[in-house]
Amino acid sequence: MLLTALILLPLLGAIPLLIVRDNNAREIKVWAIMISVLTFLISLPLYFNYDPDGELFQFVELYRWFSLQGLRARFSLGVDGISALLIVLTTFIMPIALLGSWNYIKDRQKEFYLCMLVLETAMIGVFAAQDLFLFFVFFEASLIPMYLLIGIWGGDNCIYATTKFVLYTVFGSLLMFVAILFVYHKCGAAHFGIAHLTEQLAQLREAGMLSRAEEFWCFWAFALAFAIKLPLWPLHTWLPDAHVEAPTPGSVVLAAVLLKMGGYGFLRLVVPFFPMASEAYAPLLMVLCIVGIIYGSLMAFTQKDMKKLIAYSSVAHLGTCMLGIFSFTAVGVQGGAYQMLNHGISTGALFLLVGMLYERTHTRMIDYYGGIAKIVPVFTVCFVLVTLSSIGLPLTNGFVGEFTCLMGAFQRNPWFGVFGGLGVVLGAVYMLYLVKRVFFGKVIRQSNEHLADIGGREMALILPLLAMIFVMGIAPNPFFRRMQPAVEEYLRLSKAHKPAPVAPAPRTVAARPAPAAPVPVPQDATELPDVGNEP
Amino acid sequence: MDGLQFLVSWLPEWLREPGRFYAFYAETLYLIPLLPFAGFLINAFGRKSISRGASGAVATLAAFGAFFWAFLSFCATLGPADTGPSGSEVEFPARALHAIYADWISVGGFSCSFGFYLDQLSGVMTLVITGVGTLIHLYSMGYMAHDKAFARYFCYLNLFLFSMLLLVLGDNLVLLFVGWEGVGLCSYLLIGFWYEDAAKAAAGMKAFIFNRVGDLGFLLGIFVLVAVFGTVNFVSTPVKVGTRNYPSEPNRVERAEADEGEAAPGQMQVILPDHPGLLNYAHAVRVLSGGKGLSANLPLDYDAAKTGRGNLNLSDKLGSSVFPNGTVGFALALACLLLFVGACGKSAQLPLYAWLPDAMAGPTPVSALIHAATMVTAGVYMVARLSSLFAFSETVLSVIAIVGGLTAIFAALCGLTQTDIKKVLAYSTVSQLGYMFLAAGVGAFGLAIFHVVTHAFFKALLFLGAGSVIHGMSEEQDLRKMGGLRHKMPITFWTMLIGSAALAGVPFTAGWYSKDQILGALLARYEHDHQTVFLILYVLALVGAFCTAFYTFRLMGLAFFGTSRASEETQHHIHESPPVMTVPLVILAIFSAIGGVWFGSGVNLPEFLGLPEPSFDLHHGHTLNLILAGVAAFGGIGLALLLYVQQGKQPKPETEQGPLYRLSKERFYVERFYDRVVCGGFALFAEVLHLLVDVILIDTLLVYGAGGLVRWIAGLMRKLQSGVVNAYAAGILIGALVVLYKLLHG
Repeated sequence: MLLTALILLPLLGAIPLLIVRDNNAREIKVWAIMISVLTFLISLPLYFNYDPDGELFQFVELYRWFSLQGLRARFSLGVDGISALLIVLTTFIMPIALLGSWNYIKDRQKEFYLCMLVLETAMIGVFAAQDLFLFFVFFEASLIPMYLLIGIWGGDNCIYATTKFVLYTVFGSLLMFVAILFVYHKCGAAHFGIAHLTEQLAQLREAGMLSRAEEFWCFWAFALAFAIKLPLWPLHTWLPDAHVEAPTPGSVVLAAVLLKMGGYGFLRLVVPFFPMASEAYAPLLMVLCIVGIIYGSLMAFTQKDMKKLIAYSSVAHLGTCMLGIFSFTAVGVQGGAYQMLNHGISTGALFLLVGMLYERTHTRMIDYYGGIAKIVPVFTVCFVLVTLSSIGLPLTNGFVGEFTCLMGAFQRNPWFGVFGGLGVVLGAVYMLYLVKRVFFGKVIRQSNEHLADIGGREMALILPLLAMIFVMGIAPNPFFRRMQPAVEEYLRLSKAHKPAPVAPAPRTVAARPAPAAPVPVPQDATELPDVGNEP
Repeated sequence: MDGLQFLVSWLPEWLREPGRFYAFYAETLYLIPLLPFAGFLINAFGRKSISRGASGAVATLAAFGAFFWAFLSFCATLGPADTGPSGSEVEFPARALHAIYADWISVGGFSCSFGFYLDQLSGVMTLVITGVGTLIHLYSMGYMAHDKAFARYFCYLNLFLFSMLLLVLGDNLVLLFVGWEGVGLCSYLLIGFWYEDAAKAAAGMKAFIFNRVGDLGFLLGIFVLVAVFGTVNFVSTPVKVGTRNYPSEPNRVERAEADEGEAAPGQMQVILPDHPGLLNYAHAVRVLSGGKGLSANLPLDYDAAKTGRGNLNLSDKLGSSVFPNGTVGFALALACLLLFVGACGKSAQLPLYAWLPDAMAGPTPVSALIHAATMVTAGVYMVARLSSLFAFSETVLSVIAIVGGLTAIFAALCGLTQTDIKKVLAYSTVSQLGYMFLAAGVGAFGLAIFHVVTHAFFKALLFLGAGSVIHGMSEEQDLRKMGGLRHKMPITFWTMLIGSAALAGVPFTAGWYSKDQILGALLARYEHDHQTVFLILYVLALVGAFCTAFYTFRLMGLAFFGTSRASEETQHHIHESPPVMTVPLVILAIFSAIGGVWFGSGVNLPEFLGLPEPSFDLHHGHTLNLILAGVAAFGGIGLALLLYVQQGKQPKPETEQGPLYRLSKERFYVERFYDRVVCGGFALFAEVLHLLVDVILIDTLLVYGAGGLVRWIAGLMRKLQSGVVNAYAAGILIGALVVLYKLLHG
């Protein structure tokens, strides 16, 4: 019931907004925020009660939905560690995004909060769906509110941006839809259950009924949809435009959650469905990731608009994340999944902070600022802390994610680690350059002399994110532990097509063969006796 | 004495005999970094509510507390053996404290934890860091007294100490890396401390980015080691006896019995302890590959159990799949080279040195603490920490020696002509770091650390002295505008003179003890196998020593002798610094003067550290070197005194100088090359790429192109929508017929 409740709550919460009158702005905001906070509270058991030693999928629910011309879709919900954490991320970000719109959204407030709540339902649905059809419905449904958010409350060029965003995304989804139907019929599946389809496909492959061409075409149809969503280079050009034009809360949700659907799609669908093609194309995709890392960083460096800079940095960060996921190593995949959460938090925070500046000055142009550290010291501290997370400084979440992703990539092929690692250097370049231009130096504009420092409401927005940055940087294990079964399943599926497992069995430190230790020699471990010269 | 004895007996036992409380000190190691961290928190969150004096005092006390606890812990490693918990028959040598507090990252077979390890090496480093750190905190209270952001300064300074202590105390490479990046962050923050000056903020950024280049190498080095050995810990995890931590036993080396496995009788076999660390592996590989391990051609999937030679097993690690056909020797050399790239960044070696001179934009005590005494020596510490790994590959050691030697001479040449008092010292630091790596490069890791220690004393002293001069001269840093200060600032003068003597290598000063031995080691290295490269390096190092002596006393001559060249206004204000600043100077001067005797002859620090020794006799050819080094030092000092004290020479305007002078003054145009070519090229490349790929290729050609294609097709289709009803009717009819046909025959 929990997942259904989570999905329905924001949707039901949106209904009163339909009836209420437009001029009750304050009540509308409070209501929407209350709903989102409540959703967050209800989602907490997904974190606390998910038992990593239990079944892979928990909180499972299954209802009949519809059956049409042999297409049997079911309302099937369930979460593994990764989707549970992504749902909690969604419900965690949502109240922050809503509270962040308090002053930002001035017109059509009712519709705005309505869109946001519907969007929340769709996003939770994507991560909770265990039925491919249901997944697709939610996946597409998330597009509509986002389309409106950018199109109605966006900046000057918002129609161009939102059209580009929708066309890009729909293009991918259409291909995927065709592939979904193809897969369904090809398998002769009983229903759209994701696990069921995975199993059927594996059986087909084993029986030699799924030709290479079929698998590869379907792989690309799925992969394209998610690669666009991510976005993977060179399918990224919708992202900077969408981010720049979107209102702050839209950007926050877009960066924090919506992009994650792409990575999630690869984890949950693309690789498990088509392991052979995934294996074959992983190197290509990893090269694209690396190009994205380097290219995104270079682009971020050239930007004059803060939001665009952060949007390009997303391209780089998600490149790192996917580098881990495509590495097919335990460390890398865990790291990739972790990096999805990290990116949600730190990039969400960056967009929020830029939005706060925008609210004060109505510009996001970097050269408008300069030297404002002196005027808004607390804001500066917050921004620098989030920057540190973004560039992966140890003890922040960014480091844990980047380190594990790159280690995974390195273990697959050292060169992937080397070139992917360039992001570590370049990330510092563009982010610190941004900080320097905005905050340091002399105050170059008179009008900036009276900027207000971060306020109470804004502090309430940013503090939870800052807290998570350090919590996830210092104690990542509870998260890793929850994601571990899902990652192991992913690795198992990704290698299912091979006759014998090639990778070494998962090792733990404790499981290493240890000789029975007789009487210890009283000698320090560093002072190793040098007996090499003896015969 | 009775009174004293009474006092001592009144002290709690853990204070009187730390060695007997081995496990207690092991478990409280975390106090050492946590005290400065607490100071950081107090200053960060309470700076609005506590007074300026209080925030300085809190920070200084935190630093001193760390020093105090580090001292006790260090004593605990020296004391008599702890007999372990009652009932245990095991005797534990109190040589190292090791405790693991919590798991940090454990994912997919990889794990690292928060654990601290204090042995002779990290103990000495900790004492230097906290000791010199405390003095510099104290000094800063005077130096920064008039600064608006007093609390912020101490906040950063304490955070730096915390990070630095994490770096040296961390029991694994990743924790070391945490400190490594942490000190980089603090360096960034403190260089750009006066951020309103855009140039200073830029200098901070430059430092961070240069360091990041090195850090990438460091990370990759970690990845290689993880792939090969599956661990990042230095030593095996401590054994828990009850709730107490005792170090796990080291490797055991035994002769195989005749009937054991397939091993020939008498063959060496190595038994690793549980959860072996990198140093255990290094030792095992060295034993098993025979000799000094310089040709470690073990395959990466080696399994000693198969040959009955102990339990070293690499086949369950990923090494062989990451590096197909690689050998352990290859992987280790690769890892060490990559780690050394990291060291080059942090310790400002060629070609990543260029950030350090710019780092002088920070407050002078920061330059003393971070950019001279502690942080920049982190690279040397890391190499020493992993010296058993580095000692494997002659090639890597040669690379280190060459980079160190080139840096030493290069920076010394740059230092000859600088006119900014801090820049002279900055290049000197780069140069001295080069000497440390020279020592490491010939395999004398102990000597490298010895030089780290003495250098910390005299270079911190010189920087603090320079700070005192700058303070007295109303923020003037240009040597050309100083002169004649020795009468007005006597304490500063005399202490700096001692520091200069130590830097120049005047016999029996701290610097002489360490540097002379490094030069001697180079010569011995050459005589060991007559490789020309080491002879060249020795000559370069000698020339560098001459330059060092020269620029040091040039600085002294220009600042303290002759007549004052400052403006009337400035001259009027010149004053000796307050005691809070001069006391640290005096203490450091004492250490610079006698520290060498104490640590060099008394304790014999290089041997005390217990680091791997080179295979040749380090002291071979010592007399020849003694003479040559003495000639270099006194030659440099004499020439400088002659020119700048006797003749009262002053630097001419740059336009009147010869090309060689300008080459040195402009640092051989390396930094300009970085600024113009590398930075400019990077920015230009990014801009061009943005325009070409994002704007033109993807958006215009592909996206709009696709849109245009759709529009074109739509244009064709539009012709169908002609509005002619007859055409529609015909269409409907044809469609209906097709459907009908399908239904009837399909």
